[in-house]
Amino acid sequence: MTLNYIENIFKEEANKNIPLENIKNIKQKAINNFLDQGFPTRKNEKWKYTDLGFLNNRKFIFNPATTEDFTRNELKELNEKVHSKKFGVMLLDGKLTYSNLPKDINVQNISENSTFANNLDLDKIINKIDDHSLTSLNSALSPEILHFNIPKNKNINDPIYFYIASSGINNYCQQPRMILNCEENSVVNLIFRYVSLKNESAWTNSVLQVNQRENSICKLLRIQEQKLNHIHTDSINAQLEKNTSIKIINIDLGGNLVRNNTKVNLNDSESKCNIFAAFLSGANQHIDYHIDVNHNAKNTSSSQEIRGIANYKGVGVIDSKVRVDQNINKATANQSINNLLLSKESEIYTKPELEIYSDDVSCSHGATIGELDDDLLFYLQSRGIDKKQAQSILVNAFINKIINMIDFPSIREYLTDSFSTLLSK
Amino acid sequence: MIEIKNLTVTVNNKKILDKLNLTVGNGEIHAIMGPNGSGKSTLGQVIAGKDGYEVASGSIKLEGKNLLSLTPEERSLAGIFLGFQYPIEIPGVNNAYLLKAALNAQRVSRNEKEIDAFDFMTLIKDKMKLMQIPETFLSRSVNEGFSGGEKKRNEILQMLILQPKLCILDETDSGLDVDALKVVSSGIKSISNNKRSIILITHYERLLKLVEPDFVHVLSDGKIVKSGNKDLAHELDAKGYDWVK
Ligand SMILES: Nc1ncnc2c1ncn2[C@@H]1O[C@H](COP(=O)(O)OP(=O)(O)OP(=O)(O)O)[C@@H](O)[C@H]1O
Ligand SMILES: [Mg+2]
Repeated sequence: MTLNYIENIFKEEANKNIPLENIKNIKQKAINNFLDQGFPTRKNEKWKYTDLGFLNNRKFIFNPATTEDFTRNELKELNEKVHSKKFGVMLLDGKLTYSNLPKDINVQNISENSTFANNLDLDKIINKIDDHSLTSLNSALSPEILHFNIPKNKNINDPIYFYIASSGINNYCQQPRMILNCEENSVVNLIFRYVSLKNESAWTNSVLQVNQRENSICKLLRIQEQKLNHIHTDSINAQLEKNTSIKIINIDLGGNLVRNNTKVNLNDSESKCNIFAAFLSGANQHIDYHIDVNHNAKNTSSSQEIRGIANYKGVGVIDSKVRVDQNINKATANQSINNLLLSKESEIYTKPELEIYSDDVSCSHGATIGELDDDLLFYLQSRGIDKKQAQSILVNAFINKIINMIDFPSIREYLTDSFSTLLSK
Repeated sequence: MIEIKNLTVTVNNKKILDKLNLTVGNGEIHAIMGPNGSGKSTLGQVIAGKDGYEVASGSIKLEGKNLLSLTPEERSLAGIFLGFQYPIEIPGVNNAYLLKAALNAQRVSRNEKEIDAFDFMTLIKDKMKLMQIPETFLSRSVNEGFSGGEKKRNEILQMLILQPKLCILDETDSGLDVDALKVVSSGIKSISNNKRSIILITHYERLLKLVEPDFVHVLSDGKIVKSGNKDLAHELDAKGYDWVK
């Protein structure tokens, strides 16, 4: 997939499918940005362990396919799941196919609603997030830019489920794009589930933005369980105003090559973020977490608790950076990364970084990498528990530190089972 | 019950047990005493199947079956229980979960169905009371933050639930206050019967006054250098080990 190929696709799409002039502009900027940078390769420090240069040799299809026949059964099953939720949203190949949202929460496709789009600072909310070239690619080619607005003072206790489904058809690339706007004093609980219908070599390149106004609270659980032939790249980008908090939990079990970028900007005082993440990278998987937390204001706090597991020939990467800008007083940052290698061939690369330019800051960080403790295994075995089960008990104990942060017992149970099942394979 | 013949065990080419012989009959209680570093814990660990020890020669048979070819879990299911000298902390695994998993492993191996939550609670309640372990401990991680004495009582609780054929208790009496010692010994006595065999590894006669052994052995430099009845324990308590070595 040479850059030329992508440029041509963009031109075709731009002529056919983008009715609004202002959208055309931001998309043009985005594609220029992408074409300038190209696919990220290991020459870029942030992509040291995850080189996407190989994408130059692939040809992905970006415009939504008509996939119904091929995936009918899988789709039916998934639809039933989504419909059974009190609040649910479904995207298929980047397009909204279903939404049942709490009262007053509305969703707009920015690409099609000119009055709505005109009221937004599109340059700021779309072009300026510039995480990396894949975000730009998403801005340029995503079929819908979905804007969810959580109104002022709205407090939603029940979680809203977002099923982000890839049809999983060979060489198909889906680019979901969601922007969440949490107005003043709002509270939301969101669960994002990345799934795929078929297990061919498809690519998901997703971007989720969260903009939090004063006093808002957002809880965000992302569970990625795409099929094992999939490439999954996604970005979470959160911008926090005064006295806000975000809790992000990332769980990655699926995918062949996975890269999650989580970026949180604490832009005003009393804003805080808590990030939890856990992955299991098995057989031929490669899972890369890249986290950036920027303390851009005084009295901000952040914490991270990340646990990676690699098994067989699985590879994991955890590259996490906390940055405290100059003259930012009373910032608190904690970072804890623990990794577990379950086989001789598995690998995990960890890079915890604190970049501190202020004095009045309290920070801690630590990273460990280890294997299952033989003495613990022996203790369990000596009580009659077979080795495989003992391993799975200990791995669960390791991962529970993250799973227990999830508010919903049924999801905790589901994930505990998923980890166990994958481990017993 | 168990027959150990000519057992020589090395770790990194260092000989720790040296042609050791020990036979424990059904229903018998044996005490093993001996100086620090003489190989008592090693013996317990080797019987339980811990990796890292090389059995250079000899055999261990449980009811005539060769134990040495079995995995630790198979040995446990065959009826061996080792109470650890230093019970290990397992953060993130709660006590109830471990007890249930252990019990179910046993039931499954006997083709019985897994115990349900209610029966499980009924089963363990009395035993917890006997060991004076509060029910709040069930939801705590195994041994994590337990005091020394609590860890030892927890080992006995596990033993009471698993009902093993051969109990090997490695210094379960060490570090216990007078009351806890009584609790532990009543736990041991409660499952002692004419079929079940018990090996008490200990440094102190005080346990042996509460749980009377049929035989007392002295292990020194990897060998049993002296055997006798409970009077031997008394003598050792008074005179130390120098005269038997
Ligand atoms: N894994 C090991 N590596 C090296 N040496 C070991 C190992 N395990 C045991 N030993 C050595 O074997 C000897 C016997 O140890 P063991 O723990 O069996 O003694 P013990 O009789 O139980 O002593 P104590 O009364 O202090 O508990 C000691 O010298 C010990 O250092
Ligand atoms: Mg010892």
